[in-house]
Amino acid sequence: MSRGFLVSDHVADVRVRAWGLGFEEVFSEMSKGMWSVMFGEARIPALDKWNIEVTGADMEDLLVAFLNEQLALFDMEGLAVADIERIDIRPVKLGPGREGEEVLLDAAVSGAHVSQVQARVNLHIKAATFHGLRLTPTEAWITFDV
Amino acid sequence: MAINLKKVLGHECRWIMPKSGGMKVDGVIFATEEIINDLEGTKAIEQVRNVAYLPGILKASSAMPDIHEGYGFPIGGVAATDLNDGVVSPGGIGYDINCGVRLMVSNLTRDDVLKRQEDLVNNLFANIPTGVGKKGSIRLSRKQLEQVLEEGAGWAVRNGYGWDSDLEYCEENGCMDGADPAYVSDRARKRGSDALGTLGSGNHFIEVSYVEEIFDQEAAQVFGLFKDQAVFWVHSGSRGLGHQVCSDYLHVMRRAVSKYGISLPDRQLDCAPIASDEGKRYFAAMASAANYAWANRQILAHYVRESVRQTFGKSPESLGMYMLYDVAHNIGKLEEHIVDGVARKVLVHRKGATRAFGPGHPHVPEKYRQVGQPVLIPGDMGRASYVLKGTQAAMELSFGSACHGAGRALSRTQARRAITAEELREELARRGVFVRAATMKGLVEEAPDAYKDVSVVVEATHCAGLAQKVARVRPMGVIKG
Repeated sequence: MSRGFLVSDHVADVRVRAWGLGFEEVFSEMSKGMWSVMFGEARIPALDKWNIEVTGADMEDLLVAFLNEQLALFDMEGLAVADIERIDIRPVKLGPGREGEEVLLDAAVSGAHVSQVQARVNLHIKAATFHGLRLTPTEAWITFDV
Repeated sequence: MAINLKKVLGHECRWIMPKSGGMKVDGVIFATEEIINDLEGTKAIEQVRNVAYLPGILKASSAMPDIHEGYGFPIGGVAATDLNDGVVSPGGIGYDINCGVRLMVSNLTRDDVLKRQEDLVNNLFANIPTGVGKKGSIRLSRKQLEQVLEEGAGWAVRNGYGWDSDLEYCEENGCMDGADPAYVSDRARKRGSDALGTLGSGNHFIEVSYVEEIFDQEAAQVFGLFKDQAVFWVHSGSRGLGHQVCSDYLHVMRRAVSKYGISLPDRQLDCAPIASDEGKRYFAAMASAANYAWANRQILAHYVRESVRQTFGKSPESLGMYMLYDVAHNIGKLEEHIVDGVARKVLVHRKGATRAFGPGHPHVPEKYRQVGQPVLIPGDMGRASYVLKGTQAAMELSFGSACHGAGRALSRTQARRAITAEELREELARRGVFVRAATMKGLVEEAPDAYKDVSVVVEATHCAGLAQKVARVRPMGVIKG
């Protein structure tokens, strides 16, 4: 398959391998993998749309920030992601008074409030970590703290 | 790179990994041979080595007997860094900042509780918000949240959640110096605004237990423990607020390692000099999250007291529900320790490790000072938990640190395959434990057999001299998130 993800259960955490053609697909598949851990086989309906914007010092930092932003929105607003409809990743200059560049991710996602998902949380992911993180333009591994 | 780990001659529970490559100090693991063998196939020992790369690390990268694979640091990892040229690493403190344990004593006995066991557990479950996404009944304004972040458990007591005397029996009196809410992001604040007074999910719990065996009569008496006494545990942390602080500052540290030219073998160890702007900001935010966690456990303890009042129709005061102690086991602390014969202020990272200060230490409450600090070690919901006391040896060997718990033996999927919810309930009932949980699935994942036997860890801690056994308690009732 050209894109997809695979979840593996470890003693104290969960690892997800995601693959695709380019960072955008890899990030998107990793996000799907994360939500499949959270809700198992239950389908998250695409009833609403919202945007996610995060920055990172590099691509690995950006991937972790993207996933943790989704977890924070779930924690605060109860928002669960069904699909990543669009991802743009581009370098940007650091803010005023700072020299250098960082990477910006701008995504449009669809999903629903947790109360609209016909299932309880399967496994609550608390954070995406840098532990054992591997990222190439076609593949990524992330360890999630659960 | 091959890791050279060898047992220290004459010490049954001490292993050394001599400094090599980029390691700035030796690695030291306090464990039995059985525990070391169990680490095969994990990254835990490699993580002890990686921590030894941290700039300014002093004496050794240590691991306690409950060592297992973590993120960057091993769980059970302890590292002290020099305040002048050392670093602070969020990975050495963890996502759940000031996850910790509190124990309250009572003058209720095992028999008293057994007569009202189900009512008590049901009342605890009804009064304490548990599980994923469960909001608390306390709504904090921005100003109130800032007060919580600055004052810790003191804020809770000042607002009617507990007794003044509770604060004396908390590590740091339930409030860490150096907190500054200005360095806690809006995102973290939002995650903390309605989670105060909630237990959370995963391995967090409230438990009523009875004292099954006393190993050290003198220390037990000083701690207010007696055989068959009912005692109450609270295990929780800083909730989403602490996770967000850790995540926020891992991103800050990613840039800091480049800025300060720090080279590390694992980016989950990313760090900044303690004296740098990034290091100071993280410490102030971390201390704020630690204070949030102390306020949270204080409020949860209040709910426990009120549940006991509801169940037994007597006031918590008349039932002698005093705090024994409250310890943090994911934290970074500024402490004074003897290094190379000289007293120095250092930053001690404890990631899944408990402070275990010995007799005579001025930071141990006066009541306990003659015997040493109470060291609270929770086990699983079916077997046992322990109260130990800190030792002088821990001051010399591990910057006054000991183990913090058992650690998982099975993954959650393996646990679900091993036993059904019904079988688990029956098994716990056979052991005399009544349990309530937010979800049956979550309960099964936390089954006793999913955890290592805490007694093995405690025996190794005792053997290594890091803390000494005072009492073993057995669970009677548990609520889980």
